[in-house]
Amino acid sequence: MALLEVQKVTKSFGGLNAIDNVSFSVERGELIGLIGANGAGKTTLFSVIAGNLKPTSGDIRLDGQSIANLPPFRVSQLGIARTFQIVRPFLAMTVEENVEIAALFGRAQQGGVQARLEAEEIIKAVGLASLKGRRASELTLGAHKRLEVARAIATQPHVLMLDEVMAGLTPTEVAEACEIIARLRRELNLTVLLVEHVMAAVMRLAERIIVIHHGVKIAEGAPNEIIRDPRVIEAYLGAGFEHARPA
Amino acid sequence: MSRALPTLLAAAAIVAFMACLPLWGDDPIIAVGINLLAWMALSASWLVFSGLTGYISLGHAVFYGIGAYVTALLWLSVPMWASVAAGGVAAALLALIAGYPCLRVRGPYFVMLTFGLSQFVKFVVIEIETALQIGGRLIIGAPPIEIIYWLFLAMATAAVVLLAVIRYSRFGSGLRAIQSDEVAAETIGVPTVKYKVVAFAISAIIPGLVGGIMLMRSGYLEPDTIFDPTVPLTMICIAVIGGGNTPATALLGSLFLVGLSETLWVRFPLVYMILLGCLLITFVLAVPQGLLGLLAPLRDRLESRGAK
Repeated sequence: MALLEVQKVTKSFGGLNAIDNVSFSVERGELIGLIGANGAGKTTLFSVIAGNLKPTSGDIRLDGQSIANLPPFRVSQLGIARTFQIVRPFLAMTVEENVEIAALFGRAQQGGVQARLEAEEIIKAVGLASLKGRRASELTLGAHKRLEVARAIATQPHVLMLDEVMAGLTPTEVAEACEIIARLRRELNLTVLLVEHVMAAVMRLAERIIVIHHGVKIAEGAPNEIIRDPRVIEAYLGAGFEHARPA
Repeated sequence: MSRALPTLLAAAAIVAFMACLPLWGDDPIIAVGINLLAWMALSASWLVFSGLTGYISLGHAVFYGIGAYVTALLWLSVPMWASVAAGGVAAALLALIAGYPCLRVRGPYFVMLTFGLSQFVKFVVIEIETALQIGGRLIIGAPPIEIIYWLFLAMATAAVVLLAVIRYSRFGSGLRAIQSDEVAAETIGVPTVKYKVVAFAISAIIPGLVGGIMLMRSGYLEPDTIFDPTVPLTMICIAVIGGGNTPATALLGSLFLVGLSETLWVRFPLVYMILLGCLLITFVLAVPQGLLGLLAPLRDRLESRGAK
């Protein structure tokens, strides 16, 4: 059985379908890239899976159990974590406290001492060790994105959903971020959903790519198939640009 | 953790000193002491909810008032302690019931709702009392002022300990996460609704008890005064003056506000409220981080000296 199943999920806002009848499933340990233009509905999809938004119709199953109508804290306790594209750190707290709180809750539910130890490990793993005593309000966007990842991981998820964690990073930082994600995934045995515009990163990390356009899933497959798919090229570049596809 | 022992010793010394006060102080001193302890108890309880979650409650007068009212209703029909305890229980129950719908909204909406709740309960109580044709209830046989003083001391101590324990617990971490970013908090697994409602109920208990004890002190019940909306406003003043959301906030804030108002009242009886208002405005403008923020550099210096 697939670890995560998204079954005919629709989410509409006042008659507009932000997500329209989307289905896919994710096997344990897979890393799936979700791509699509801005406004395609990728973040909405994450919000629906994480419980931040209720789906209008359809079902979401984690390990066979329906989670579609659970509040976000229950989804987190069952083992799904997400980061926010527009970062939401606990600004008044230190980096350490931010991560520690996540380890106290989520699926982790650690005791105080254990939470502190694990927070320290995770902060090191995402490369924030030198900033751990700093208040989150003092950090740069790049550090905030790392903090988002650290906090999500501290909840000890089965499924990690990363929402544009590489946006705005330099090529060197992207390469570093890819390395961190690949390593964390291996060490923590994570299943990952990756929303990303940085195609180099998606191509490198993802085993399968799902393309969403205007809320509809238009393609799904291995990375090198996806970039040759005429529907994908049309969605990204518009009709009449088939000549632009890679040879 | 290195600061825990000195802090505990200092706290024990303060409690011991305050406990001995009625033994040598005269009635006016005891009266000031009661005032100070009551505000410490109330502001520390208010901080348990509003200081940690960031939801500003203007409704804490209702818990104080319902505590006093329930105590008055049960007065002499049950043991004294039971009538006061019932006031605390009633306040917590009211918070649980009212908290669930009220805590679905944030910011100014929550503030308005709590204020509305407090007005609503106040007028219900006034109507009931009018219908029963009771102008005011006399509380006969209240304990002497020293006992009342010690009860207030117990309340203040309990409230401060409660705030300290909750603030540094897992529950308190969840509440502070809610204050910082509620969406992020629930996404990392904090059961936000449950936490908010439980914190609201916990922070209502001591104001409920204080209402009952205050009733014993005043000797009569008047619905208009027990639901006084300046009660929660004063709690907010104390929190702002103290700065932050720690036990020290309640301690410093109450000491400052009560000290100031007593001093001004003695020196300038006619215009003391005006002076107090001006001073508070100046304080908020000049020291927005509160007394605690003002003292932070001093504390850091002491600590670094201690570390050497």
